[in-house]
Formats: sequence, C-alpha cells, structure tokens
Amino acid sequence: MLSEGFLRRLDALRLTLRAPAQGGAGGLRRSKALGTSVEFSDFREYAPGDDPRRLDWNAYARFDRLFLKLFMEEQETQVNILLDASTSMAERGKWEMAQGLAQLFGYLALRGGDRVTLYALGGDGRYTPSLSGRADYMRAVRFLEDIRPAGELRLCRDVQRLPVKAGRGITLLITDLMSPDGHEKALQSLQYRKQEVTLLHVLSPWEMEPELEGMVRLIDSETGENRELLISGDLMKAYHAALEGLLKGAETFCHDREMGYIRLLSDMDIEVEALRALSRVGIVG
Amino acid sequence: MRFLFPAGAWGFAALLVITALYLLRRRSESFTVPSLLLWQRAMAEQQAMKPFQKLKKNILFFIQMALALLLALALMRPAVSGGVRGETVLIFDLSASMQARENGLSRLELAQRRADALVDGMREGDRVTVLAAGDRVEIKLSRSGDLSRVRSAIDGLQAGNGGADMDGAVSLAQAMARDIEGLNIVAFSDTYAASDIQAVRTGTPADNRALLSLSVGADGQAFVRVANYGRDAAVTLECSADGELCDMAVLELAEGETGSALLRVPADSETVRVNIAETDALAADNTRWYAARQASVYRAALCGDNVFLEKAVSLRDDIMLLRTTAREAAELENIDLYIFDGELPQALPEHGALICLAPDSAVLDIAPGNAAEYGGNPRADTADLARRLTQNLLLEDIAIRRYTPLLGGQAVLRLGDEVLLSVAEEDGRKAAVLGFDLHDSNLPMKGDFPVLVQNLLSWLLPDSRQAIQDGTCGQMIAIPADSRAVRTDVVLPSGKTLAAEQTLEDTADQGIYTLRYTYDGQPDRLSRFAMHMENAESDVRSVGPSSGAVALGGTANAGRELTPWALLACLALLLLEWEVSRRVA
Repeated sequence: MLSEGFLRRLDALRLTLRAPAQGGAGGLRRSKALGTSVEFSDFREYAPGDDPRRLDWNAYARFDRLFLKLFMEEQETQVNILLDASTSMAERGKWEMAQGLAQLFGYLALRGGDRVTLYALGGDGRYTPSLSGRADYMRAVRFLEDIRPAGELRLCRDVQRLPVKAGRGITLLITDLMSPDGHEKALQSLQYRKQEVTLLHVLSPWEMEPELEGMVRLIDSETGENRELLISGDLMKAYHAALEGLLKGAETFCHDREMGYIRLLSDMDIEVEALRALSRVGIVG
Repeated sequence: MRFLFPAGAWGFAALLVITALYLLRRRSESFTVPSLLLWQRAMAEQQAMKPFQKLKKNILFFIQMALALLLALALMRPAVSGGVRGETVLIFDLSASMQARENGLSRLELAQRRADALVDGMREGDRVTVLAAGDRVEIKLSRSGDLSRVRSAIDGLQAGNGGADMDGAVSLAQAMARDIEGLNIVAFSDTYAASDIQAVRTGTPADNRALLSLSVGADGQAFVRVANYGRDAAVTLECSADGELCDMAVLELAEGETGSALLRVPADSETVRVNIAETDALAADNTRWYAARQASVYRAALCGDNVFLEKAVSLRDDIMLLRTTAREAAELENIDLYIFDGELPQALPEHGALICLAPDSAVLDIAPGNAAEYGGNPRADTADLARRLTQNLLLEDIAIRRYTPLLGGQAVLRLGDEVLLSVAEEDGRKAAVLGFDLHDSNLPMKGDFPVLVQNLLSWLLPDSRQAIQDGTCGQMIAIPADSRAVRTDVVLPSGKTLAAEQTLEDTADQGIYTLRYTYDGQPDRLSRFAMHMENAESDVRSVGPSSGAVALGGTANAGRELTPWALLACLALLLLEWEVSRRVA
C-alpha cells in the first residue's frame, strides 16, 4: 500500500491522459456531453423530461418559447486498470511494482472524480465494481491486496473476455507481456472499444540480463513446462535478440497506434523513479 | 582386430557412469523462470541459424563418452593382426652367444619378445611349432593352435652354453614345409641368416672377453689363454684353487688380441678356477675350470708264465701285475684284469676284464671251434672296433702253426673266413680271446705283439688319467665302464647326482663334473672333468642381418598392438574436452 506521504504528494498530480469524459456523474474532466457547467455551449427547445432548472427564462421572455441552456458539462471518465495477475508476474518483484502502479493510478483517478474499475488478468479473472470517489480508494487497495498471482496469461483471450463497455475511457494495461498469444490483438481489441490505451510494461532486471551458465533446466513458472539448455554465448545473444524484439515490437506497435507505452523495471522505487518515468512520458502531471 | 586383454571390456562401465553423472548433474541445476517464451524464441532463432546447435548442446557429453570408449578399448589392448598367417615354425637359436646382454636384456629375451609380438598378431586357427636349436634340435611344441601354450613354450626357452644346430633346425622345418603348404619358417638368431626363410636378427654387436683354455702343469703353474673380442681393454684374472683365491694377473689386450698368462697354484690342487673380474656382454665365458686327474692303479692277474705277455702288459705303469695260476686267480679279490694263458679255471671270475689265450671253453659268448692248421697271414677285420684294436699293426710275416677258430664276439683278426682274435662285452664286462697259443706263433717275436696288447689293454682298462677329456657343454660324454663297480654316477656342477649309463647327455652346465665309481668293500674311485662354453660363441661382435618378410616389416609386421594409438586419441580427446568446456564456461 502506498504511503500516506506519497499519497499527499499525489494530491498535487492528476492523470493527464486525454480521454474525453463520457457523461454520467459530474467529474473534473471536460466532457463532450453538454452539461451543467459554466462553459456555455448551445440552446435547444425544451422537451418533456428535461431538467426544468436548466430552462433559460430570459429566452422564454423574449421568444415565448422554452429553451434549455446547454453548457460543456465537466463529467467523470471511466478508467480501467488491467492488471496482469498471472504467475509470471510473481517473479522477482514484478507483482509489487504492478500493485503499486495500480494503486497509484487508482488513487489519481478516484481523486480526479473518475470511475475506476480494476481487472485482474489471468487466474480467476476477478474485477471490481465501478469505483468512484476517494472513499473507494481503500476498496481498490483491498482488492489489489487480495490478489495472488496465479495461472497462465493469455492476453488476447483474457482481454477480449473482459466486461469493458464500449465507450470512451482510459485503459491502463500493466503486464510483462509474457503471453504466448501475443499482445497486439489484445491492445487492438481495447482500442476498438474506444479506450485510450496505455501499456505499462513491467520487467525484472533478471529478465533483462539472466544470470545463467552451463547446462540448466529452465522451468516455466506458469505452465510448468521445462527445457534443458546449454547456456552458451550464442544462446545468450539469441535471448537478448528475442527480448529486444519483444520490447521494440510492443513499443512500435503502441506508437503506431497512438497508444501510450512505458517500460518499468521491477527494482525501481515507485515513489521516485517510476513516478518520474510516468511524468516524463506524460501519463501523470 | 584382436583384443589381447578382453577383460578390459569392464572399462565400458565408465559409459554408464558418465551417463549417470550427466543425469544427476542435470537435475541439480534447475531454474524457475517467469516464462519460457523468450527462451523458446531464442532457441528457435539459434537452431535456425545453426542446424547442429542441438548437437553442440551435448557435445561435452559426446566427447566424454568417446573418451571413455577409447579408454576401455585401450584397456582391452586392441591389436591388428599382421605378420605371419596359417602355420608357422619358430626356430630359436639357443647357443651361448644368445646369453649376451644389452640394456639388461639377453639376445634370447629380445628374440622371445619379438616372437611373442608375432604370436600376438596371430589369429585363431593359426598353428605354431617351436623348435629349440641348441647342440641338438628339440621340438618344444608341435603344431599347436593354443597360442597361450605357444607363448609359454617361447618364454620357457633358455640359452645353453654350447652351439646351435640352426642348420638342423631349419632342415627339419623345411622337411615339414614339404608336407604343409604355405608353412612359414621364422628363425630368431644373432648370427644365422638365410635367404629362403625369414630370419629375425636379435641383438647388436657387443664387446666381450673370454677365457679360451686353462691347463695346470705338474710344476704348479696354471696356463690360461684370454681373448679380447672388443676394444682395447685390461683384463683382470683371478685364480682360485680348491675354492681359495691364490693368484691374480692383469692382461692388457688390444682389440681382437689373444693373450696368455701364467698363474701360480698349489701343486696338489684338485680343482682350479680362473675368472675374469670385469663385466662384459657375455658372462658365461668369463670362468674356466680345471680338474686334476687322479691316476687309478689297476690290478691284473697273469695266469701262466708267458714272459712276452708279462713284458707287454707291464708297459702300462698304472697296472699292477700279479702272477698266479688259473686256479688261484679265481680266489683273488679286486682284480681288474685276468689274463689266462691256455687253462681256464672251472668257473670264470664274476668281475674283471678277461684276456684268454687259446681257451678250451667258451668265454662270455666267444666259443672255440675245431682246431685247424695254419694256412696264411692273419688280417684285421674292417669293423670300427677291430680297426681301433689293430691300430698301428703291420700284420706281416706272422706265422701260426696251429689255431682254434673262434665263434661269436666281434672279430678283430681273421685268417681267411675264420676268426683268430675276438672281443666281447657283456654287462660292462669285456673280454678278448685269442684263438691260438702264443707258443705256436711267431707273433710274440714281432713288434706287433706289444702294440696289440696295449691296444687291447686300452680297450679293456682305459687309462684313468685320460678317461674323460674336458669338453664343451652339450657334448655327449662316454662313461668308461668298470665291471667291478656296483654303481656309477655323475655329480653335476649344480650338485645334482645322476646315475651314469654308458653316456652322459646332461652336460648343459659349465663347471666340474665328478664321475664316481662305487665298489663293494672298497673306497669310491673319483674321476673329474670340466665342461666349458663353446669358444666359438664368445665372439659376439658380429650380428647377422635379418632377412625375409619379417625382417622387412620388422615387428610392425608381426601384429601391431594399437594401445598406444588409442591412448594418443584419448589424450587428444581430453584436450578437446578441456577446450570445449572452457568455451562453454
């Protein structure tokens, strides 16, 4: 759980993602929907059911017809935080980093008046109800703390099954991308649902530079599958090439589709290094 | 391909051990990783780049397995079959020169090694005959297919102190070759060479000094001759008499020179031994022995009063003559020779040699026939013994008035077809019978008479001082018979005692032999003689060339053991394994 001091520092920040508010309860995000805020937008004739408080009586006096005064309404935005909770995330501090990021985004979103839904990918696929208001922050924390990374991640399958409503919103996907069915379709699927997608790619330093030598048996933490390998210089080169392919591929894919992408290492201090990295790419500010 | 040590196959168990170690080692190094995704992609990429990557993964394992395999093979001592095939005769020169040593090995041991290598290269079904060529040719093993027996026969050979009848051995082998198609004949010798067989030379030229002879005079001086078959050298001679060192001398001899030295020995010495103090290639000819002869005195009983006969017998100074009658003679004891002139006793004495002149009854198997009148001059028979007994006789103008032809025995003198003088030997007892009375002949007046008597005496009573001459090892020795002896035996230089028959064949050892006659109620009579190494074998400076197929191929053709090559390959694999593990690490 994030410290009180860090939360107070977050009070000065907000999510700067550019997703438009989509209506509903009023929030701090400017919506395309016309509402009750002070910023005037247009008039339209009254229709039964409209809020009589929005009638423009001056217009009625001049034109003898009932008009509603329309304003750009400041509405709340749906923020979906998709958290990879498969077994691979349990390795070497990745889960702690992912949990911290989810709390950070949850806090910023709830404090900004947005609605937040947390989804655990992999395992039993749990998710929270729509949370709103600062008071729900603790519910989000409890949800995150209850999750134990387990099971195998199939990112495309799991994302497509998510009950994310089609509609404008922000989706933050926190994962190590260790999914055999790739990540492209999953991200596209979110984009099709009008989500402003940001991919937070969390890896451990060991994954970046594995310390292995000689003949080893590597066991997949998710599937239990194992491989016997003779660790040679050539094999390590091939591994780094594969890793580079994954990183570059994900970054390029996101960039080409105007998605956010940021790579975070599990040994980063979330309150300093991770927050600075998030600020640098404009996710928070 | 053959394996000389099949039990080495147990070494293949190392393959199982290595496999087990690999399995155990693999279990101990497991790592749990978040995902195999990237590793699988890496492996796919690597295998796409290098088709043999999978092989490389286990290359250490394969190298170590190959190493263990080669080591096990080396343990089994693999050998390629080579050299001779089928049926083979191996001839070994067992002459004294094969005792010459170089680098701690004798020439015979070198020959045995080369022969063993030849046998190692043989296959099942090949048969081998081993001929030992000493003074006589001996078949040690005949056409054996059991190669272990062949090796035992080869390894059991020992060089003698005599010569080698290599020609006889080769002739025997060539006789076999006439009946056995494709028979290989391989001779191992330091000197023998022949173009029609395969001869394997053993040994290299070496320096040697040898004692050629030793004699001791009555003046107490030993005369010794020494030959230097090598470079200039000083030869130290040590002389012992009856086991006590009594004199020594140093001879400076140039290369190839033969010198002599006089050494002082006590006058009454029974045995003298001279040896060369320095070590050289051949030790067997560095010692020489001398045994003083002890003269024996024979007792002869002359029955009758024939003066001519008495004078002729008395010429031998080792015969003590007793004059008596035929009747009294039978009662005398310890008589070595009875001479009966005419009358014979009722019963012939049981022991002792006999000379009977015109006997009236049979002597041994010689019987008198019907009396006859003179008809001509006697002549000598042509048989070997007759020639020996009539040696130096003129047999001219001899007149015999009356005689009795003899029947039986071996004829010595004949008159026409009839026998005038006959000899016989029965159970070691000798007899000479004259078929006429000396009074009826002019023979005693002739110079032939004492010669004939001495010839007969030398056969009947050999001179004890010249009974057995010193000889060379391997030579067969004739043992003089003594009809009075109840037992005759020979004590060999090794101390072993053999019962003596007519001949002594076991003369392989150098040294002093003692011939011992044992009498009933009388002291033993001893006669010593020395046997020495064949002098011709002492010159070991020249070594004959090898010839034939074996010589051309040398030992390489004699079936080659591959163990050194297997070990070399092991070493190479070991280095490769070290390099690969270094690179993998």
